[in-house]
Amino acid sequence: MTGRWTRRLRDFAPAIVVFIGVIAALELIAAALDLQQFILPRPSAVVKAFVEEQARIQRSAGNTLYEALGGLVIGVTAGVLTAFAIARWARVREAVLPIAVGASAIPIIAAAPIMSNWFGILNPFAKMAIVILLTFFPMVVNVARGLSQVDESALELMRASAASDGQILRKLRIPNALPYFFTGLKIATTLSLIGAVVAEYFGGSDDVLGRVIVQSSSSLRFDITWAAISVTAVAGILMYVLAVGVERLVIPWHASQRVAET
Amino acid sequence: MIHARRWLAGLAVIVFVAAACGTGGPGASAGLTKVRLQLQWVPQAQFAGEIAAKAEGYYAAEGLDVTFVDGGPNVANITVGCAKDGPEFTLGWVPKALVAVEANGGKDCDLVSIAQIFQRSGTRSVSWKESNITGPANFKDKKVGVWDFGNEYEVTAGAKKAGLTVGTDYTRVIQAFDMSALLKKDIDVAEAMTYNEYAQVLEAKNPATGQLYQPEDLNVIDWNTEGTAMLQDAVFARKAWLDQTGNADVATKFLRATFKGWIFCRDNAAKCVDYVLAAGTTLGKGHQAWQMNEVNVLIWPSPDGIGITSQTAWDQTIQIALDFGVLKAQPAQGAFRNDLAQAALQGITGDTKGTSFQKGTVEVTEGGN
Repeated sequence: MTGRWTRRLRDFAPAIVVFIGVIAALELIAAALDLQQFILPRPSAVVKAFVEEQARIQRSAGNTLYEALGGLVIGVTAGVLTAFAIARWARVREAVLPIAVGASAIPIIAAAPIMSNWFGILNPFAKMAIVILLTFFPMVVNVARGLSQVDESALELMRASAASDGQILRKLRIPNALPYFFTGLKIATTLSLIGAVVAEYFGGSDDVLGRVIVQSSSSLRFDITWAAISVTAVAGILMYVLAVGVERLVIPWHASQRVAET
Repeated sequence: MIHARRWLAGLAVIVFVAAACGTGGPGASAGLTKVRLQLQWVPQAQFAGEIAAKAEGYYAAEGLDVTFVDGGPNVANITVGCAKDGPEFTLGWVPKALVAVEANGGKDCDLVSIAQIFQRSGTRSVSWKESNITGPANFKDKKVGVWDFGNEYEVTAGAKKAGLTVGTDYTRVIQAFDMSALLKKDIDVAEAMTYNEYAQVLEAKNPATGQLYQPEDLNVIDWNTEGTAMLQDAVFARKAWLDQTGNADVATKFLRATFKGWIFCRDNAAKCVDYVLAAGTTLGKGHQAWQMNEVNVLIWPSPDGIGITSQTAWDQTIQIALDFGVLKAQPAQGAFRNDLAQAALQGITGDTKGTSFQKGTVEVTEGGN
């Protein structure tokens, strides 16, 4: 166990060293060049701002995470269901895929005020709708590919063994689609936070990370802005790591996981 | 070797050009001093005086070549104006600028107000007649819309003055920059400028009657009469820039031409609307005509002459900002100065006070077209 942990630490060591180095360099550069605070606040000032504004940032992060996670769950579920339908019926594929591609081409900045008008400016679902728009498409494309691009010989073998469609789905298509699903999910986790924060730029509740960023930057408190941005980034990374953790539990047999272990 | 030398020569030219451009100070070109003005918003009649001063050649007559830098929903005009190499002049609201200066200890942002263009606040809170919201005390248990780019202080200060606490007594909702949330009755009260969003409501059709909404359909809270109005559009310049030799003179000339532009727009509103439309506004002619009319009311009459900051109004702005936690401390001495505006008023012949100014009437057009 300890050996595994030291190995893990060794794996992450370069990243940690670079991270600390960059923070220290920023601190030194900001001090040495006497940079204007709104160009680059010192990392120490950002930490101080985070401590001072912790109550509001915490509250806002909770609300933003709610929007992001809510949208993510709905978007991923809808995406997976659509992918199953697409993989099963060619008709559905012809009817739905062009619309899905079209939906993914909508600039979310254009959609955000419209969602506010549809669902109400204070309704968290208006923000979730943007997250759904963003996460739906990568899920559909990935899962549909995973369900349909199965090993031809495996398929022939199952058919020859008189396996039913249901058996082929359970024993061949779904296991084949799982790695694709997790690829889509990992993309969707980070997209969900981006979507929520962007949607918040177009009004609504006061206590959300997007508003903290807008309000602090418009009064030139960029130390608070950077604190809020850091919290957003950390939340995104945590969601990503969580998705990776679930992936390891569900498909430890997959090649991509085995490579990571060696 | 030859290549290297050519590269070096090219590099030297680039460095030289960059240095020439980057001085930021007044550089003479064709005899005119180049200066930039950061607008607070996209070009519209709110800046008609400046646009007219350029179109009528007032800036050129003062030896200035003025470039307008557009603002808009995604431009923090004050931030841009604070930058060491930013525009020489910035149009902005007084409290927002003071907050920016305080947040940066006066060091990273040293904007000074040199002329107070709008004498009165154009901020209103608008609600539907049936909601019966005639004063901030009626905000209780309502959804109150504000903009949060530092534009909300008059409304939140008014609510606080009426004894209401945000969050427990009323819900503060961040509006988008249009009136759809009010039109949909998603919120009970909306913050609106007389010269912009208020007109947008009147330019919309009432689905119940098929006619445009009428002023009688609305209750309007005027923050000037509620006592929480704050100073709005003023001309700012960086103290460090003003302290450089010759720049106070440039500022005086800029103000003189700007004041002349506003006097022109008071007396020739229709002509100014044409200038604004020619400057590439996105909103229609009807809307700009309305805006010109309303903006004139915010400026005229100017009891001490256009551009002069009234100490009383300044003190009220500071007091509200302090009372409601917008500012932590009194701004430093010299946060505003009247000497440049006074000097600019010298040499303007004609009425600089507009004592007998009467508001005109403008017909609302559907969609502001």
